[in-house]
Amino acid sequence: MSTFKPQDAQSARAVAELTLDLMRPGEEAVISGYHNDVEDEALRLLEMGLIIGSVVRFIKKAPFGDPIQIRIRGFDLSLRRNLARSIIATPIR
Amino acid sequence: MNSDLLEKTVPPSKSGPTCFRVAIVGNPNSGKTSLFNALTGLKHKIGNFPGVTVERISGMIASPDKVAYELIDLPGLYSLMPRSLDERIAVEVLTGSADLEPRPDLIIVVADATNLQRSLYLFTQVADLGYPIILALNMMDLVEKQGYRINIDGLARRLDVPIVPVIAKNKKGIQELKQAVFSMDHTLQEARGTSFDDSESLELSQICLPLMHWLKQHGIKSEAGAFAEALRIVSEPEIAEKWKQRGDGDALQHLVEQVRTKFSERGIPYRQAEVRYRYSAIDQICAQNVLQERKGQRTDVSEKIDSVLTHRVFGPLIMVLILATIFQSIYVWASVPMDAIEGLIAWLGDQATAFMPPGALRELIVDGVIAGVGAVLIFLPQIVFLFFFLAILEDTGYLARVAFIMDRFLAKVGLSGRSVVPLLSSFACAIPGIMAARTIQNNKDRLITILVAPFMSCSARLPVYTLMIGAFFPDIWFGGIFYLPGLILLSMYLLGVIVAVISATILQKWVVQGRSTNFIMELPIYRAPVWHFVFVRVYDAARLFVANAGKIILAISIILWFLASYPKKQTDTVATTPGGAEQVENSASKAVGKVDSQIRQSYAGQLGRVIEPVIEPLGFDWKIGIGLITSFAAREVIISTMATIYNVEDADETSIDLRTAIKKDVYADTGKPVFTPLVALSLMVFFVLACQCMSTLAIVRKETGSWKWPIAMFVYMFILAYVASFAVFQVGSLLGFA
Ligand SMILES: Nc1nc2c(ncn2[C@@H]2O[C@H](COP(=O)(O)OP(=O)(O)OP(=O)(O)O)[C@@H](O)[C@H]2O)c(=O)[nH]1
Ligand SMILES: [Mg+2]
Repeated sequence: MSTFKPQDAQSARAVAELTLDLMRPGEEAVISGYHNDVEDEALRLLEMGLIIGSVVRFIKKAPFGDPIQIRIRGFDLSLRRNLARSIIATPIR
Repeated sequence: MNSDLLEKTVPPSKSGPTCFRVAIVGNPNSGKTSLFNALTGLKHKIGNFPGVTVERISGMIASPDKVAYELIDLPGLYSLMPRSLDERIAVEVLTGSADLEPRPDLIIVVADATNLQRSLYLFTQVADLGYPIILALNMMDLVEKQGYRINIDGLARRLDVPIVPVIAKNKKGIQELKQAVFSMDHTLQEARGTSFDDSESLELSQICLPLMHWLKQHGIKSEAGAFAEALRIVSEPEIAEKWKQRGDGDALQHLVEQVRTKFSERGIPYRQAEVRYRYSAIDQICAQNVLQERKGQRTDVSEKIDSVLTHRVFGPLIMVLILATIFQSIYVWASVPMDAIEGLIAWLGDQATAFMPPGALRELIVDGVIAGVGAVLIFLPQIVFLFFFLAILEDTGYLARVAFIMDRFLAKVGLSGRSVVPLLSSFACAIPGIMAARTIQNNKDRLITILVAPFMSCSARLPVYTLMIGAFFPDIWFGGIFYLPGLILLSMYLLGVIVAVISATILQKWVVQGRSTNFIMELPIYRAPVWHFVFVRVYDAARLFVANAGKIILAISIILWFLASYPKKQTDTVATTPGGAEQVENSASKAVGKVDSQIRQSYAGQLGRVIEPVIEPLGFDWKIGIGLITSFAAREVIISTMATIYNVEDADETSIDLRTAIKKDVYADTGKPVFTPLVALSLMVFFVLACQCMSTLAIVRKETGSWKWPIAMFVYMFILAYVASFAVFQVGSLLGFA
């Protein structure tokens, strides 16, 4: 497992990190890295703008708990939790 | 001037040297097809969810001078790295790898202006391919509403392309865009990639230099183009493979490794290299050119609507309620216009009888044409209602929410929310449904979706259900809410869905191999339907239905009339005396035995008796059997077939309506009714499950690329239908429902 963290984010990283699937509705966070060097599917997420430094907002879980809905760069995206689990983010307070 | 482009100025097109080919490229749901329609005057399908267009569509732009402009609309793309079949189709047209056609001469990149950053990602990739580009900034109406301003001149200067702001939906800016297209071709500029000057881009391009050098030796001309391709090669092994096949593979591999190592040293996973480079430039561009003036979010209203529609409890409830209401109202509301059409057709039959001289021609017109075609046309209002509701679901953005809610369930049977659109569209017709499966990234998912889509009850089955339910199930309301005929109709749809779910489970466990799937889908903002296009969709469906009735069904009705009328029995030439309704009814029932033997010894009757033993265990008589055979041309043909047979059989000169005829029909030998509610049920179940549609089999062949799947599909669906009908009828008979 390789976890990538950019140099510039290193110093600011005092707050606890979490993965996207663990966020709460309404919470915002900055993407700070990925677990398991990005797989094919997650690459599509990168192309859609979920890159390191982007702000995500957790909107809600689907009625049956999975997938989740997040907002990134002004549009809404739904993705399954197992994919969200490989994206690391730092909550903004 | 770029020599590559010079060659393209006079493309070797089949429409002559003065036809320019303009392709529309952009993110899914950015309004490409809306723009295409506005530019060409055509009326292709639009909808508010990603993945409406799944094939290449072409049309002409009317131009003032002699030059012709062909406009090509393509499926949406997030990047030039295709993941699904529809994306591959678009990328192939762009990169010129589609075998049959030359590269386009000009690209219109459509960007959703409320979603600029993501749109620009694709834009920069396309720009790096070296095309002349016009950037159409669409949805400008929403930009103003949401309180920000885009510095269009600044953006145009920075990106070095002409930008035309448009509102495709309202046809605003279309003239300006046309003008830009016309003037563009006469002043073809030098191809240029996007040169980014932010520090990260510079750093990355330094690292890539050796690779860029190699690429320039191997055919890439511009600096920016080489940089872009270098990043693609480093990021995507598939692209590297393509280049390696052009020779010198070892050297390339070495260079790629070298660049990747250097990237890792800087803390950049190589697969992210291209994305990071482009977004860092885009962020800078947007920061300089997009101004948030007032507060306001594109997603605000949608979030409020979603707080109800995808609510933890209300969401699923509302979803079921919406679908149930649609099916019920198709049945209840459509009955009024249906009765009117039925009356009109009966009147037409009577007029023909009154004004034509008696003889074979009159019989052909009254019993064959008017009865056969008319019996099907009655169902037009239901088709109209069904397509109207589906169009509204598609246009508002609710379909994407259904996918969001249903993904969890579909995951259980190995599919994903991506299958929702193909499966729901199959309620209208399996053919567009099966084509919509192109948007599914995972091959295994896609195949399974294709194979189970025909279980969704399409609009061609609706007339069969309605006829049977209307004739054999009473209008009972339970507690003022539930309506028995509506419930039976709904349960036919549910039966199809349940069988589809079970089949999908079996297929994914034991039959179709492949990796399991994931689910990523954009949830578009809610929009009001574009009524004009809703109308067009409904009108098209209705026109097709009527045209079908005028062609296939007319032809089959005529053939059937001959088959059912000849050979004539020599002895029996006495016609019943024409008279009032009561008298007709009497003579008809008295004559049953005699006339029946006439039709039973006709060609149709002979054929029917051959297959009767096979279908008897399902509760069907030979007339239904003939209907089952002809229904393989199109499902609703069973209705015209039976209408024709009954009208020929009913030897008097008035046309009888099918519902009355099947209610009255009795077996000649035993005098028992041919149709009972149980027979009706058995017949409906057969229609839910059997694949009686040649066009579906043909499209499955096309989409899967082999005959294996359509044949397998036909066989298993047929066996399933037979077994299920058999079970319904036999078990029902044992329980005493016969
Ligand atoms: N507000 C607004 N909505 C628009 C505009 N243009 C298109 N739309 C809506 O955007 C949605 C998508 O339009 P389409 O033309 O189907 O988009 P597309 O890019 O062809 O979509 P795909 O074929 O799925 O890639 C539809 O609901 C349109 O009504 C516009 O200028 N303003
Ligand atoms: Mg489209």
